[in-house]
Amino acid sequence: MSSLNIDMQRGVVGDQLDPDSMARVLDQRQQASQRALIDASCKVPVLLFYGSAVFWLLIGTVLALISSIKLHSPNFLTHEAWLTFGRVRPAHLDVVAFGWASMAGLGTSLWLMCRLCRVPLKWPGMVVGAAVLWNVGVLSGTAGVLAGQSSGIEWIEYPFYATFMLFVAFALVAVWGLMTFGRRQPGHVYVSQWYLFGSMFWFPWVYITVQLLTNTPLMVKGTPQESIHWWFGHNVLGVFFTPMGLAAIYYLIPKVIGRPIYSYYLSILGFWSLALFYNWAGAHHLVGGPVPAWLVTVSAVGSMMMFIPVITTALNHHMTTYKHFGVLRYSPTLRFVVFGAMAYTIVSFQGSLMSLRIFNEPFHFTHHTIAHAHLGLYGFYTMVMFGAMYYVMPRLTGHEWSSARLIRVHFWTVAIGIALMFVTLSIGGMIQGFELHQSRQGLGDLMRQHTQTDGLVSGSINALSDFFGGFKAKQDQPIPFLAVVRDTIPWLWIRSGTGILIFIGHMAFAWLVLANLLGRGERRTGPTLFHTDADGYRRSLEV
Amino acid sequence: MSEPTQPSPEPQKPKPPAAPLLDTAADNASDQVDVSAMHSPIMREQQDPRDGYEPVPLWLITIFGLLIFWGGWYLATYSGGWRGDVFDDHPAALYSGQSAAPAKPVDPVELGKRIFLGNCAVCHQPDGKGAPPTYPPLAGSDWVNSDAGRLQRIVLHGFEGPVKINGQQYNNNMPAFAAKLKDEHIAAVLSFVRTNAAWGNSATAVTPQQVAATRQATQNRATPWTAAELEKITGP
Amino acid sequence: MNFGPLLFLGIFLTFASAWIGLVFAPSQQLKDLQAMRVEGSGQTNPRPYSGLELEGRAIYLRDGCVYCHSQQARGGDYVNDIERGWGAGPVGEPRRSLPQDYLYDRPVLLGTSRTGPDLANIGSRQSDDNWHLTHLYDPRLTSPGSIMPSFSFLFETRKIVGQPSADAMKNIPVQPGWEIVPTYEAKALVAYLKSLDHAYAVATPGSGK
Repeated sequence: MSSLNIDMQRGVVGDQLDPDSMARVLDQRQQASQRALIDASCKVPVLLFYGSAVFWLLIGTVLALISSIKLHSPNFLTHEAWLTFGRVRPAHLDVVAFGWASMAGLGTSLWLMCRLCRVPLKWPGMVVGAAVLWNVGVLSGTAGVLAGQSSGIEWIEYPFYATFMLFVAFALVAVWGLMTFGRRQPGHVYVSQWYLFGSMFWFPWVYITVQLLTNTPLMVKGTPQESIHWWFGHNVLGVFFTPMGLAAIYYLIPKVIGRPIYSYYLSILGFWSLALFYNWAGAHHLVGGPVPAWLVTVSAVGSMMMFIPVITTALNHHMTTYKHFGVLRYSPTLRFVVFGAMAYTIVSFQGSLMSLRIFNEPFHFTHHTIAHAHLGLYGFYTMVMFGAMYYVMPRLTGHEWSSARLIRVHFWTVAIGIALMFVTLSIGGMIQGFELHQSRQGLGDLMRQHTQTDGLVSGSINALSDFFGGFKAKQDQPIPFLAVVRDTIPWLWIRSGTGILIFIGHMAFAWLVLANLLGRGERRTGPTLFHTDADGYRRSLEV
Repeated sequence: MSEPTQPSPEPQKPKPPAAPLLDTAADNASDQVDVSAMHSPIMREQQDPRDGYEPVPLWLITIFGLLIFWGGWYLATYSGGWRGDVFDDHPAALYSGQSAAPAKPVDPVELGKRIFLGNCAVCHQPDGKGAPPTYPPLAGSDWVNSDAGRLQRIVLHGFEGPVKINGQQYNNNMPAFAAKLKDEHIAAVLSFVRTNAAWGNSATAVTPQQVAATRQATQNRATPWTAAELEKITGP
Repeated sequence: MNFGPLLFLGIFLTFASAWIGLVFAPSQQLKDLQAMRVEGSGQTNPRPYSGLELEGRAIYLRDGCVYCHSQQARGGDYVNDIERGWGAGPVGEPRRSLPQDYLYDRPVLLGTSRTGPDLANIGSRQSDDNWHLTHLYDPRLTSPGSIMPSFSFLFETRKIVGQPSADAMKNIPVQPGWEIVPTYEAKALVAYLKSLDHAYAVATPGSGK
């Protein structure tokens, strides 16, 4: 093969190779041909998962924009039943969760599993079948929700036929993943494999439990349903998306910068504490609700204990990247993945604190929660999946990414978009929460009064200090609900703006993926990096 | 947590990995668009991830110890004795030995406010300003600040048809509350509304006896009042 | 961590622990909860939903009301729910929502968002059909500044043929010769909303309020 004739490493001087580098070259060639075999076996199913994922990402973004606009302009698209907010919003959630996030995650998981177990995927045709079935499930489920067949239970809106298809498809992928794990080549099992193993085993368990016990005639009586519901709702993130995202981070950071992961001991501690604590966290969605106090308390403790895996994992990720930040200048994969890893740290810290009664009291039921959810599923998970796709796809298609400029557009639009969305909704949600609870006067009213008398700057400061100073001051009469609504509207407008920014990024990404799948666009043979000084890239890797 | 069954022989500080293959412009000169291009992403890959073996820092273990201690305290304090019938977040309610809060004598203004928010505020709005032109205001309303008997009749039996309030025309209906609210409830809510200085109202309070008398006097009334009827009884 | 069965066992056991804690235990603990009999009548508190109310509930689920409206009045520290008049309980004695209130709810719809107000007891706060229908058709007519979408697709706008319909909407502006009539679905939804009324006391040892 002519590929083996390429100069492979530094230190080759003419024909003279010292024995050490000779062995390394041979070893590398062997590994490379093994990887090529694995990638060839994964090619069709993983690309099918990826392509579908990007399609659903675009659909999900459009649905998101419609829902977002409806929140501040309620007369937008109201005449058709299928376009009402209560159908478009769950359709958005389901499409991004089960269409985009799951399909991108499963594609990445399968590829990672094969790579880490060092065996090719057996009978990839079955996985292709699973991907097709998954697509049919998402399509029919979303159509069902829009057509008015939603179960009305958050996260499991899909009608039974779609649920059934998704379950069968997932079972196929999981069996394939676990079979691959069983056929692994002897040797070390890497931390990513533990997470993948976990997610493939845990997700069917939660999915079956919640479907049977809250969405069929077998449903349990009364409010324990909601405990089960949120045990699932939180676990979709906790034991499905999070492990897949963490597995990708654990693989890609050391892979791209060519360093070992910081500490095996931290990996062990992080994995097992996540396994133990994350799935106890669900009932923190019910703080103050009509469920026994102990239920909320154990979930708050479970959530706070999540500090253990989060700090551990953060140390492990960030200490691996530490001193290699130079690579971020060049590698799109690393930039997305490290953004995701940092967002994971932030969102997890925030999530743990939000489970405490003192923080939950003002923030529950507000847009603050929405900000948190987007930072988790987008800032962390989706960004990691973008990074993974930037890494995996060229290996499968054999085409390099066609445009560094478009990747740059993608990165900056979505990074700024999600950061702004998080900040905007967090602030808006905080104001909303404080106004729903005791506060002397709404922030909007205070602003109007103070800026009239004291001018814009000092008036705003006075209004803010009055507002937050007045929190918890017992009120004769709460701020009218509609005044609270009015004060959230400016923030909802800004959120729609950030949504448009993110949509632009997704268009750029979709174009890149399409061009890569079709082998179109500017033809290049080197990696597509943000900056083209190859020496600088080489140096950044050698620090 | 278990030790790795096969400690990797990998040294703590691995040798620098082979530099990635970069197909630079010079390499492309020959323009080999063939298998080598197809595999170039794979050929230039770094080696597969390995584990480093940095120890777990002591400060981390300390933080975790403190967290677990806190968790135990929180469970003990807020778990409500693990009972299925304890919902309150405050542990005090459980450990004070009281099965329920003692019935406090309710302040009439407080009672009136509660009844207003629970029965009237959806239409007349929590701030009493109403939703013109659909629902009339109670704050600063000429009807509220006039005759008390008129308001008692409206609350007892409802209201319908055109009416002019503060110069604005309304035409809607209000349901009857005779069955739902007792005399003292109606008295409390009317007093709350009529004496609410923050709303700009300055009329007299209403007593339960007055409401009882009105209820007695109008007990045969089965339909909502109209503006014309009320003005006939209590004056314009 | 290279031994597959051990990995599996750990993954199984950690997960089973939470399944027992958050799924099995609360269901067992509250499984004997019963609706309370009302002295001297065949009724119970809460009462089962009527057929029309159940149809309305299906529309509530179908059109996703739960994404903006919670159905739980919180108590204890969260007294603001009570101060807003959202509490359950008899007139003048508001209380928090309790598990008893949800015995006939399949599925239970506690909700996680208050983009709109809590609806656990909306039937008690507003028992007027006309208000509910007007509000569904155009929320801004009854609640100025509301951001709730119009549910005009639950209504029929038609030309008056002969006599105007008895149930035509009265407060909604419409061009002369036309009328807006609520469909069966709109009426069912309103019947469900009005049934959200937990105006009864529940003795709960230890709950304080």
